[in-house]
Amino acid sequence: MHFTTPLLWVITLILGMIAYFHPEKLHKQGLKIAWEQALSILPRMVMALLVSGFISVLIPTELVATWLGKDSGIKGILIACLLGAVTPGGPIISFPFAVVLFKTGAGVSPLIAFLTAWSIFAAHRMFAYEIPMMGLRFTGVRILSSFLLPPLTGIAASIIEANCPIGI
Amino acid sequence: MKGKSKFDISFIAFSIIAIVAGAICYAKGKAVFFDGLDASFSMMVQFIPKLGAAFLLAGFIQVLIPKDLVIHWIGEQSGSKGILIASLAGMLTPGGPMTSFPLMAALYKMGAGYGPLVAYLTSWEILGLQRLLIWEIPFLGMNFVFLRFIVSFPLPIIAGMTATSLLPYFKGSASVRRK
Repeated sequence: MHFTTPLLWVITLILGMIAYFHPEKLHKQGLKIAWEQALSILPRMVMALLVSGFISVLIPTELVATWLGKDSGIKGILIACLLGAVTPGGPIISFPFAVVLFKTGAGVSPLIAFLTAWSIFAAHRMFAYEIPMMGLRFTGVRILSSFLLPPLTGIAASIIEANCPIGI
Repeated sequence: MKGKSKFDISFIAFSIIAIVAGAICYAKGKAVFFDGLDASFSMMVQFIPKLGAAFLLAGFIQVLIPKDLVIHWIGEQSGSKGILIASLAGMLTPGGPMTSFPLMAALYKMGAGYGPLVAYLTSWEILGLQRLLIWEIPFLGMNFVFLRFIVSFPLPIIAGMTATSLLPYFKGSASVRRK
């Protein structure tokens, strides 16, 4: 995990150079988008992390470890899917929540299932965007086509983890 | 989510929850409260340097991958080729739902099929590079993201194929809705 930060910065620098040498000097617009997004997300992020810190000491770790821990198996993956499907809001809620679960003892495979379920079923996005813009029929077909995917990711991840641990 | 709204409703909501959670911790004892605070600060120290890069990266990606390109890519492609291209396009579409849904609606009207559209949306949801960069890598680390990416990579294609085969069982015409 320690090389994540330098790697991110190197990729950023490379893309920044590409934008800079682009005939339209795209780097200015890119910087503007980055700045606006940082301004919009950072204050909420700081608060969300404050909440996460408090919640991580309030959540009983035995509970998380039992239900979502490394050895929770299929049961843990299914519970994580349900949890992900009912987690409301955008990434500002789901990712700090995932970190709290991780710190309080959740296994990697249940966490992957959790994030996949949240991504696919995100209720706010379905009601605010998908149903109004694409219609109920499309949304129905999409949900039917993908509701099995979150448990599948969890199971696949646990198989990979068991056979070649990559040290998370 | 423009720069103006930096102290919006969700900021206020988070602040209130933070105060309530902090108060509950404090009620359980000073040590619990400071443990919580300590956990918060260590997360901030851990995440914020990565977030700086993540925001910049997302900004550059957004200007370097024009939306028109995505529309051009998927266009009226159909069948498995359309599903494959749509999966790649979904991964590369930057921005939040304000970007991806209007784009999908446009593709819908242009005549893209359910299969590619479902593949596109699924891919944007679970493999979207922007969310990966801004949220997942800083919060959960490279190894986690790597494992999740590997197991999720085939899923948009599976979803797209399933959607194509499910469609005949749904009432109504198989063609797209045109407003």
